Order: sequence, then structure tokens, then C-alpha cells
Amino acid sequence: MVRSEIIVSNGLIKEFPTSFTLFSKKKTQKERKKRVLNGISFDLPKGLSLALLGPNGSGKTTLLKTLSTIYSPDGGEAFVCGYDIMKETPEVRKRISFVSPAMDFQKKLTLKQTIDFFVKVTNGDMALAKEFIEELQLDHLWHTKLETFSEGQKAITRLCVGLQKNPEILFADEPTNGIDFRRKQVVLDFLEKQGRERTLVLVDHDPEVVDVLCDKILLIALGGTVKGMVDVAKLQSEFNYMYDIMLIPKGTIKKKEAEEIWPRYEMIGGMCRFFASNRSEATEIHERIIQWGKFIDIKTSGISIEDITLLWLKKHEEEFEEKMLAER
Amino acid sequence: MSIFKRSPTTKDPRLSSIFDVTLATVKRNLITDWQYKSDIVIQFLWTVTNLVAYGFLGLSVGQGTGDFAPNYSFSLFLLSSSAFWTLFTGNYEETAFCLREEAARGTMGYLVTNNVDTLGIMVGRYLSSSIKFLAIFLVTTIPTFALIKGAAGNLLPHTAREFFMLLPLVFFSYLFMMSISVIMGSISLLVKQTTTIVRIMLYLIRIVGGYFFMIESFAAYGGLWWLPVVFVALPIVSGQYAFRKYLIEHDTTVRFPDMQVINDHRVKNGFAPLSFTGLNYGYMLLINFVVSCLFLLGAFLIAKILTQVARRRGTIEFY
Ligand SMILES: Nc1ncnc2c1ncn2[C@@H]1O[C@H](COP(=O)(O)OP(=O)(O)OP(=O)(O)O)[C@@H](O)[C@H]1O
Ligand SMILES: [Mg+2]
Repeated sequence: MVRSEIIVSNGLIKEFPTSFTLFSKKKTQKERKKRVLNGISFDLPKGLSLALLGPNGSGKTTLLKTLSTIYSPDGGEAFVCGYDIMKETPEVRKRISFVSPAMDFQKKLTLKQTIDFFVKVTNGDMALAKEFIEELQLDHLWHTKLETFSEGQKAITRLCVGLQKNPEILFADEPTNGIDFRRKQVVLDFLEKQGRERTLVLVDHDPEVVDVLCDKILLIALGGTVKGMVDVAKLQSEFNYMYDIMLIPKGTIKKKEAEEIWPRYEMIGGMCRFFASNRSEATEIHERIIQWGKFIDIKTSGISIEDITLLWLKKHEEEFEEKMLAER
Repeated sequence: MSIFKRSPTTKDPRLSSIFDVTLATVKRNLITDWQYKSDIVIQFLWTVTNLVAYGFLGLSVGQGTGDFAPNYSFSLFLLSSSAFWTLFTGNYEETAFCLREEAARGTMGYLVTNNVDTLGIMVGRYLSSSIKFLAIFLVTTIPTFALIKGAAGNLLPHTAREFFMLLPLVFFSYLFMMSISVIMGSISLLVKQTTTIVRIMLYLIRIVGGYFFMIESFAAYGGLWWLPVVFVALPIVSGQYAFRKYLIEHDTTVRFPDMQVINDHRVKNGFAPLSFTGLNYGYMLLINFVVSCLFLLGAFLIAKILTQVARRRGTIEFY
């Protein structure tokens, strides 16, 4: 079957037994199982990359592992690169690679020996691995044992292990954690350069990573359901926010007052949150709040990509529901 | 004095005493141990296995000499057992634990997604470990034996014929232990606390295989006369048998125990070698071959099935 989607997920369900003991008082199946993915459905067209976002424990890692055939699903179906993950597992595995932050290595092997092993095991591309390591300026560690590697250096090694196979889809769970700012840029450049040839499916909380590498965001809610799928480009054009300025007022703040300070805001409980696209806007908001004066505290922070996605979804809620209904 | 400030003198600022720490630790361990009830059962079984092994051992030695008096010491008997098992213990353990190590290292997921079979990982581990322990065997066991027997002549083949008769039996023992290792390794995909289970299995095979006492001893206890006949069909048992005979007596004529002889209760002695008058060497090889193949087939099937189950249950790697 030829499909124009590289990943199709139809009501994917994953459950874990809560405990595997010989003596358990809980006898019914339902009690013993914890549902982590509760009917995940989405399509990813060929040529696009996806970011999975959601709160801790919502099942992002589990979804990655299920799609990359580490876990087998307990319901629903999914097609990766056009192959059924249940029935055509080997075909799927030929075309994908999975990078986990939990991946550690044989400490006594050198970087070269480690990469050699994985290249052999996966029938991978040593040249690609070399290129990546050189680009990231780790080639001076080529003959160093991995026990001396820092967390960031290990993160790069992991990515290298994932990439050397030259997969159609690279599934990566928080791949840039621990990599320093400068190298992160190099990683982003490297992955971006390969552009449309390789689909990335990432879990990464860094807005920049999502921004540069991904075309779509799949937002997952606690309980393992899809909250929505958003185009990164649309998100940017409508919510080009960098900072989030939280205002804690003395008493309450009226809608009108807030609007006068800055038109882009959101009320949360008794507090008010303003959104700024850049630093000068943030400064401006600060000044206006100070002028207004009736506040206890102001807090400024970099906005999270989850927040923006949620805002977008809130704004387009109706449209979205209609679309979902239509799809059904 | 401000209400936010607590006077530093209200409580003695010393750390907890070693007594408190010990008590707290004991309490925590008792609570957690109780949570792992299946572990307690396994540990209980381990104790039972030990009792059985050494119980039989005592009985065997206590039997004294029967119809066939041993012509060597019991220590030499045990030494030949442990020499033979140098070849199979380490590789068995390393294989049984290799998936767990891979999982702890976090590489399991990656290997699985690359179609690297859990079976491939285990067999790979078994082969490399076997080479390692063969080397260890060569530099430790053989010299020990040479010293004890006081003759370097026992070290190497007395005749090429005997030596080459022994080799296939040892080879089938390797295959057999590979299947057991793979089965134990597969179980570790589902049950994380497998250390004791692996030990119990090792002991069971040793008991059955004549590590502690001659397997004919089973026949000395009434209705169990058929047990040695069944056991000797396992390659590791006939391997051990042949190895001992070769090392101590320079003889490799391992055959099936003659049922008639055993049924007659003529075998009363604990660890004396029997003079068999049963099936010949060719049959022994054939049976070894068939049994090894069956076990390997079973082990590979079990590995496949348990890997699927582990993917279902989410225990295939640590998370
Ligand atoms: N192999 C497993 N066995 C049992 N429970 C599991 C397993 N893997 C995950 N879980 C449970 O599933 C839930 C979702 O976990 P998951 O790791 O997928 O979340 P996540 O979205 O990746 O979270 P985070 O942002 O913290 O990485 C958690 O409650 C976790 O305890
Ligand atoms: Mg996660």
C-alpha cells in the first residue's frame, strides 16, 4: 500500500501492568493495568517533522517507543514508513532509528569502537558517523574511552549512533539535553541541512529546537490522549512570543486595565499574563505595569513551546472541534 | 525574637546516631523485602536446593564403599567436577544476565529497534564468554590437576583416540548449556530479580549432572533406579561423566548405565565409577545430538515468545 503519510496512527493504545508479582490481591484485569496511551490518532505527511509535547508523564516517551517497535501496542494500529508496526515489524525497523536519553554505553570501549559496533549491528554508514563527529568537533575523542565522556558528549554520541544508520525516520527523546549552546546550534544545523530527506520525531522542550527542526507539533494531554496537532509555521505567525510577563496585582485587575497595558494577555486566576515577541516589547510591558502601579510582583520568563501551543489551541478551539468532528 | 527565627539551641544540632540510622535501615529493608514476596519464595527455594545438594552428598559419602569401591579420593572426585564446570559456569551466568545488563545500560531499546534479536545478543555473549572461560580453564585447571596427580602425563591426551572421543561430548555439553543460558536470559526480560533463579538452576543441573555425587547414587534409593538413565541422556551429564573418567581414569567409555545392574541394587556406593555394560559410544553421541537440538530449539522458541511478552508488558528495557 502506497501512502503519502510517513506515520499514521489510529487509536493507538498502550497499557502497562501495574505490578508483576506472584501474589497480588488485585485480580481483575482492569485493576492490574495502567493505560498510558489512550487512543492516539494522528497522521504525519511525508517530508514533515514532528515534535511531541506534553506534561511529564503524559506518555510521550511511551508513544515514541511504541512507534519505534520497542513496545507492542495493546490496541489500535499504526503505520510507519507505510508498514504496519505489528505485522511488518522488521520492515519498520530497517527504516527507523531510536535515540533514548537513557542510552549508555560500554564504558571501556573507545568512541571509535562504540560507533564501529553500532555500524556493524545496524549495517550503518561509518562515513556519516565520522562526518557528524567531526562537525561537532569530537574527533579528538575518537580513541578515548567513553567512561571519561561528559553528559553532553554522550548526548552527541547517542545522536551519532542514531544517525549513522541513515534512517528514514529518527525518533529521538530529548536529544539535545545536556549539549552546550554552541554545539546545539551545530547539531541543529546538521539535522536541518538534511532537511526533507529525513523525518524527525522529537520530544524536546526547547522552543528553538522545535522551531528549527519541526513542522508540526502533536500536543499530548495527561492520560495519553491527543490534545491537538498544530503547524509550527502557523504558530509562529500568530503567536510569535518569546517572553511571558506574569503580573500579580494588588487585589484584582480588570480586563480593561489589562488591555490598556498590553493587548496580548491572558487571565489566569487572579493574575494576568502578558506576551512579548522580543526584548524591547518585554521592557515596554514592564514600564507600563510600573506606571500602572497596582501590583505586588512581576515575573518575566522565556515562554515554553507547550504554552504557545496551548494558546493556539485555545484560540482555535471551535475550528478544531469542527475539524475533528468532520474527520469522524 | 522574631517568630520566623527558631532559636538554634532548641534542638541539639548533632546528626542522628548510628543507632538511629541502623534502626531506620532495618525497618526500611523489612518493609521493602515484604513487598517482594516472590523474592522470598525464590530465596526459600534456593535454600531447599542447597539442602538437597548437600544432603545427597552426605548420604553418598556415608554409603561408604559398595560393590564397586572407588579407587580415588572424594576430593579428586569433587575437583574433577569443579574443573569441568569451569567451562560452563561463567558463560552460563554471563549469558543469563547479559540482557539485564544491556537493559541497565539503556542499549536494549536501540538494539531491539534494529532487529538485533535478543537471541543474537545472548548467543553472542555465550560464545565470547565460552572462549574466555576456556582460556581460564586451560591456565588454571589443567596445571592444578597435573600437580595433584603428580604427573604431567595426565595433562594431555593419553591417546589421541580417547581425547577425540571426549571432545564431541564436551561440545554437546556446550550446546546444552547454551540452551539453558538462553532460557534463563529470556526469563530475565520479565522478572528483574533473577540472580537467585539463575543460581538455583545451576545447582539443579549440577545435582542432576553428578557434580556432588555419582548420579548412580539416585539408584541406591529404592524406586529411583531409572533416574540416572534419564539424566545421563542430558549432554552435560554424559559430558561430566566422560570428563571425569578421562581425567582420573584415562577412560572415556561412557555408556548408559545398565538398567539391570542398577535395578538389582548392586550399586550401593556413593561416588564410585561404574563399570558400564550398556549402550555404546555411538548411541551416546546420537542421543546427545538429538537432546541438544531439542533443547536449543526449545530455548530459541522460549526466547522469541518471552521477548514478545516483554514488549507487551513494557519490561523489555528499563525506563
Ligand atoms: N515500561 C513501563 N512499565 C510501566 N509503566 C511505564 C513504563 N513506561 C512508562 N510507564 C508509565 O507511563 C507513564 C508515562 O510515561 P512516559 O515516560 O511515556 O511519559 P513522558 O511523557 O515521556 O514523561 P516525561 O516528560 O517525564 O519524559 C508514566 O506514568 C510511567 O510511569
Ligand atoms: Mg519522557
